[in-house]
Amino acid sequence: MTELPKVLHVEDDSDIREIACLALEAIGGLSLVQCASGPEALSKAQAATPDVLLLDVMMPGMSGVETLAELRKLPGLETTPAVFMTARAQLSEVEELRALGAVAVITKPFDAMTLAEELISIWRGTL
Amino acid sequence: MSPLDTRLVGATLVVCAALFGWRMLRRPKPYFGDSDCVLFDPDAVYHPDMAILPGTDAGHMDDNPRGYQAETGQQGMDLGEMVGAAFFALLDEVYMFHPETFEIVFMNARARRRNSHQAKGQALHFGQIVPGLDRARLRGAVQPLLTGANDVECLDYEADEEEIHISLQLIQQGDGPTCFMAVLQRTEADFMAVLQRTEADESDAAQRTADYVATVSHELRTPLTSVKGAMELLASGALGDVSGGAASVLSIAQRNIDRMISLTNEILDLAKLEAGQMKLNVLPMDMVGLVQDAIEVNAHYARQCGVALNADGLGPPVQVLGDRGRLMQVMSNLLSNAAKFSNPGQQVNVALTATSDRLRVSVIDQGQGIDAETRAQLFQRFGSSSLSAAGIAGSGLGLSIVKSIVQAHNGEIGVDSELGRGSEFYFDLPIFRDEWKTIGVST
Repeated sequence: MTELPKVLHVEDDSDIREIACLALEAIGGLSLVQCASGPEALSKAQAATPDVLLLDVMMPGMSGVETLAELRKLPGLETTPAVFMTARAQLSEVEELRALGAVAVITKPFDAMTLAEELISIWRGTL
Repeated sequence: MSPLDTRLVGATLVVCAALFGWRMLRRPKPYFGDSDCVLFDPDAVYHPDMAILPGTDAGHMDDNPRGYQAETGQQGMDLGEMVGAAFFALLDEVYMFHPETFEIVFMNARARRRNSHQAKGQALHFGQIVPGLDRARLRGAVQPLLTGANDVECLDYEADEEEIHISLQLIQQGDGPTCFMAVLQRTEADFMAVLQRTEADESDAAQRTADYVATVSHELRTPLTSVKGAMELLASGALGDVSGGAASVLSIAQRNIDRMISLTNEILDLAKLEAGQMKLNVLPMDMVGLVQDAIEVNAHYARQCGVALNADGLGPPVQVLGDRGRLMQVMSNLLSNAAKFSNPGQQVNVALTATSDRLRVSVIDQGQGIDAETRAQLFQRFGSSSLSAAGIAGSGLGLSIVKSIVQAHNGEIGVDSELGRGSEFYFDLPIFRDEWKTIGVST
């Protein structure tokens, strides 16, 4: 059986969390830990030992970019591949997110049926 | 004055006019009318703001208050309208206001721009235009004009670190109504500062608009993500069987959520274009490869319409300087439109035609065709909405966005069509050749 990545998903919108949960776990068969905010992600991240970080960009309080910067300070998460999800996919913003260490940017609305496949492909590209 | 002296004076005035921006009028004889001109001698008339050279033109000047008008009129020119347009476009601020209430009845373009912050529909008094110019002072200034003691009254003000020179005149139309005309000139440095400030304000306003629409689009996309995802999961059967009428209704909902997403994207694109925020990532790229990819991307949609996409004989790669993502958007729009407006069983063909320096990409359908009236406004915003109204979905924004993208690539877009026989949408782009890199073409 091919190994699949464990994903830490940070998203403030509960409906999108539920859709992503179905898309990644039920459809994609991935192992998933979900958090509703940056601070929650910081408290759960080390125990979760994720292979991929999947972060929403625009979140109240701590943004996805700020969350990634804090996660990078935690032992074991210094180089974990990070993927951003954003509804504002302007080219300049995508370039900016890549410069901050994102390996890929997925635009919203994403395709629920192919999200897991896309994430696996991105993760494999980093191995 | 000898003819040589006259020529020297004339030449000097021409040079001075060029150096100092004086207005130059030409006339055949000295001027004796009522104007700003000061007569020095019969051969040359001189004023710091105006130079009139004798014997060098076909017109004349008289004391007609309507001013100078060439005897030989330009064919097809409505001089009255031209003068009105020139007056409106003057770089000085021009105001006309009521002689008793001082309520402004006219502002030219510069004055309107200066006072754009004033609430529309509210009466504006001339006393409000210059800080410190109260009504009593203004009444004192206009009194000599009303009594006829003076033709022009000049006021100099310092307000908000600006030096403002105001020329006031009483304007009367025959024996009819009168009003005051005020021309405001600001010191050069301040004028530039005002201009820069106004441009900065306009830029800020455009940025605010772009930010607002982008935020709205973001807020729309978040629920759309959930709805679209939920429908996809339902339709996949992963959450349980969906069949019969439920599957049909779900399919309708999916189609319409895709329309909403597309519309949201188009509104965002339009906002970016209007605010000058659409930045192109331009690189040398192969258009043949792009066309092939675009056909692959849009084949599924075309099949849903019962239409086949073909691109036979595209030939070898042709390089253009372009933003691949945006040109893919152009191709996708043209291909999906062609499929949408074709009948099931028809074909859409893509052809590339290269000349020495231009590449034409044509998307040719065999559909219903477009009448001349619709064609004329097809690339305007909402210009294709009449086609949408024929029962086929569309926002009417797509083609105007496509046109902007093509133009941003130094290209041109157009359409040929015949009712009942189909349409050919095409765009031309400059071909990029490798050897141009060596002569400094920036990529």
